[in-house]
Amino acid sequence: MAKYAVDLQATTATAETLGSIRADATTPRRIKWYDIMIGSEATPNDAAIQWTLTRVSAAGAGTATAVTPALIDPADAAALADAHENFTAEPTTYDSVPVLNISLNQRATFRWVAAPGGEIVTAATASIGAGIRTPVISTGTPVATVTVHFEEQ
Amino acid sequence: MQFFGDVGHNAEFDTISCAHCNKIVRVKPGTGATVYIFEQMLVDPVTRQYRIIVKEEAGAFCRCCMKPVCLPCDEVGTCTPLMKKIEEQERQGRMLKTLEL
Repeated sequence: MAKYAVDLQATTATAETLGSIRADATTPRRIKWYDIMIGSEATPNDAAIQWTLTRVSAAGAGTATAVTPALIDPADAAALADAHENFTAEPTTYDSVPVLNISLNQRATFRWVAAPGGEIVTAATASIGAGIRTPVISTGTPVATVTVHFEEQ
Repeated sequence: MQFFGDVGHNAEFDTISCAHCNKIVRVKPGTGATVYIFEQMLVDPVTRQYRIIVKEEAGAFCRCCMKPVCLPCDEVGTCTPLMKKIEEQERQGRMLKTLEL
């Protein structure tokens, strides 16, 4: 079970997806998210941003830029999971209830680390995964980066 | 989970993962995960000012799988562990792939 890290960056906007990680369409694997870091590198501003991590199903994957996950251990094989950032067309099949829901000041940085056995798991089914969205932004459209560490099983 | 940066003091909170739906729930320290904390952000549509309301609720525990669960899963009342849901999703995916759908 190899571990990977991926940076997902985009200019945030209300009700838009910043990035997603999905199982590959032809060689799906379970993805276990165990470390998530959220921060904004934009000019500091007092904006309130709601961040959600929500499961997404296969249909309506949206349009985005592909990102290659980096290996935590260089001896492991490359990740099979598909990571994307900077969505220009939104995925259409988000679950109604997010797995993680955080309200954050733009100046703040947030980090969640899973307890052993408490990782966010997505199924080994083609193109199923989870996405990070910003449903609410009080003001502005700051650039933000989400760093995700995940395990592929 | 941790909050830190140019916002004053750093804050660190304990969380649990719901055993049924995997939702991350913040728990009150020192309560043994029996008290859950919820935050709601309210934004004034006119002034665009925001404030965050913090609420405490009694936690929930599933006595079938013997793990803490979130309040919506507790209201459902039945025990379907997360990995069972994942396996069912994978089974359906394999079936759809077999049927070339």
